[in-house]
Amino acid sequence: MRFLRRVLNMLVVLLFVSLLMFVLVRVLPGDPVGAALGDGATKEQVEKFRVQMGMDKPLQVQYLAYLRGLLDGNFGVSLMEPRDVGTIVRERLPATLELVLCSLALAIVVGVPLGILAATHRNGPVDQASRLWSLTGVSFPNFWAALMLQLVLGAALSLVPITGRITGPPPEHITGLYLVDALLSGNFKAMGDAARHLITPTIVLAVGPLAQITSMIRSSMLDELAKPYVGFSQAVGMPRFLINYKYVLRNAFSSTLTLIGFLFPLMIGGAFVVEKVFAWPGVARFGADAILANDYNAIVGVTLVICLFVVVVNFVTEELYVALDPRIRLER
Amino acid sequence: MPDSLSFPSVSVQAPVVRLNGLRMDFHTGDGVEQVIKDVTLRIDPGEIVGLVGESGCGKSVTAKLLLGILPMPPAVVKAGSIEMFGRDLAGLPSGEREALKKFVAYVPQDPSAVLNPSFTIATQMIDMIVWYESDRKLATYFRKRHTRTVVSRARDHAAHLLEKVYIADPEQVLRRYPVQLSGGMRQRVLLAMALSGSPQLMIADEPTTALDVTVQKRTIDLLKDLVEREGLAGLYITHDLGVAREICARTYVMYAGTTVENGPTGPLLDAPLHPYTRGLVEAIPSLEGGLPRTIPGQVPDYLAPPRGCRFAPRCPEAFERCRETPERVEQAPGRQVACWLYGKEAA
Repeated sequence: MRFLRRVLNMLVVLLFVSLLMFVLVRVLPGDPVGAALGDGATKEQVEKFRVQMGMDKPLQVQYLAYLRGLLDGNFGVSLMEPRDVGTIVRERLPATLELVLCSLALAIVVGVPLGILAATHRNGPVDQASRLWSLTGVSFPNFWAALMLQLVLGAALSLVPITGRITGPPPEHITGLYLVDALLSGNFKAMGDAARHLITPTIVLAVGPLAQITSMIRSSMLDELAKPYVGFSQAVGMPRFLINYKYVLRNAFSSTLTLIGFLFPLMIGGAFVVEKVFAWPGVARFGADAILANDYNAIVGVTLVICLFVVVVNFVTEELYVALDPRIRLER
Repeated sequence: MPDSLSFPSVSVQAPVVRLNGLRMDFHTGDGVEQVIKDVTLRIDPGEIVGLVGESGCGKSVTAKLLLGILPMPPAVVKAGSIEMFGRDLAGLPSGEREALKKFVAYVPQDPSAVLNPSFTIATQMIDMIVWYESDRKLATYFRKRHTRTVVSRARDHAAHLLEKVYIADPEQVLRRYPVQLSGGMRQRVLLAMALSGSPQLMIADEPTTALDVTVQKRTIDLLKDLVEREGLAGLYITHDLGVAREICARTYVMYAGTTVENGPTGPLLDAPLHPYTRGLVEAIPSLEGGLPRTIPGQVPDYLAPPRGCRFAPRCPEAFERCRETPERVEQAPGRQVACWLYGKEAA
């Protein structure tokens, strides 16, 4: 029942976003038809194209037609490449997901222990370094970090490829995530290839979130470490390790979980820039191109799919939150 | 299950606790706070000793010191000795210091705050029980904690401990989270936890202040009963003299980091010697109504404490001599007082 209500909730959000985006792209200045047909198009060609795309009808009629299309899984034709936006997004989504998930994993795997160390060894070297890092990490512009890494790791040291997702033939398509596909099909050559391409964009995208996760874990651990139950556990002789990693971390983690829920959409936003710089064939780069080209259907389509992910991720974090904290669970 | 008596490092005859002329400073951002000036205190096996005094006079610091949770630094021992279970704590390796905690049962002030809100009572008790069995080795602990037989035996032991504190349905309580229990119930769970090592000494730091009056009475009775049944020694910290009279055989009165007077609780409260003790006794509200007398002034600033007797600035009977620190003298058998009004040279 609760689940059903959540799903209904999500649908309403998606519907609202679609309406907002649909109207917004059309209200904002810009000439998609001119951009699509080029400067040499005649008046008749433009008119014919507008009718073809249904742009001659009133806005509400266009929107309803769009919604009807969505129900058939039809996102409308992109102006940049004359195919259905849904198909393009489906092709490109795994690349973005692979990048964002790897970055998020990196940020969590490094950020959480770093935050714990910083809190348990307060004012020690790790703490000082992590605080400096938190400050600089959050204020680094993505594109600058990307260019620097390309310059140093890619161009100067030739350790990693500068752009693209893979050099050799991609692994057999199973999930679309190259690392997973390569692993599943035992194609380790492709796996190494894909991993080498992933390293730099993953680091660039993870810089900000890692810094945020570290400082969030640090501050909530410090809050928790001051609570009486910590002193009690020490007084009865429980080991520091168990106190820090079982008792305190469990209580300190909920706020970080919320943060991770927030970070996911932010990272997709970051991917718009990172994918562009690294020529990553993902949906975010498609979205960035669509905005530049004023491609109505592509913009709305990409936004909707990203929105869907955000909504689902929020749902998952909330469920995890409940699983983690019995006080919330008990109130139900 | 516990095998405390076979543990080689704990003596059963020696005084459980002996603090002798203890002086401790705290290095804070504002300077050096000379909090503990001269604490002398002895707890014999099977004896409950009270420690009374105003807030801020060093009672909790003493408790924390004995519990091994006083951060050092900022605290620094300047003089005197600390012995527990016949062992001198100065120079004791931290591992051995930690190992002693198994023999100390801690009953804290606020039962609601010391239980971890995210874990069931069962988890918290089993963790403790298994850890005490693991010889202070994390690897052993993790192996045991994931062995089904060990865990179920620990769970049974936890249930047994809960029965000892008269919890009627231990299984039910074990499954609960702390928020699902009442204040009195939580305090009982803590008492049960306190027994999960192999305690010889119970340190209770104002265990009833956070409870309402009816629960207070029951908790005190339970505590008394437990200490007797388990043959524990106890240090009972309170500012409630009535409670001290009820459960403590002997009582130490503490003022500004000095144990100013001690003796059997009854005589001490009936005929107090030290002016501070007298002030405390007179400050008890009487049933006849009217405002109780209070001691004017407040606990000194530890950054710049008065020279000599620290109570002198508030003392109605202070005289010239009080600028020097008074010796502790035996005024009657088992009755000591640190005040210039007494002793051979008394005026």
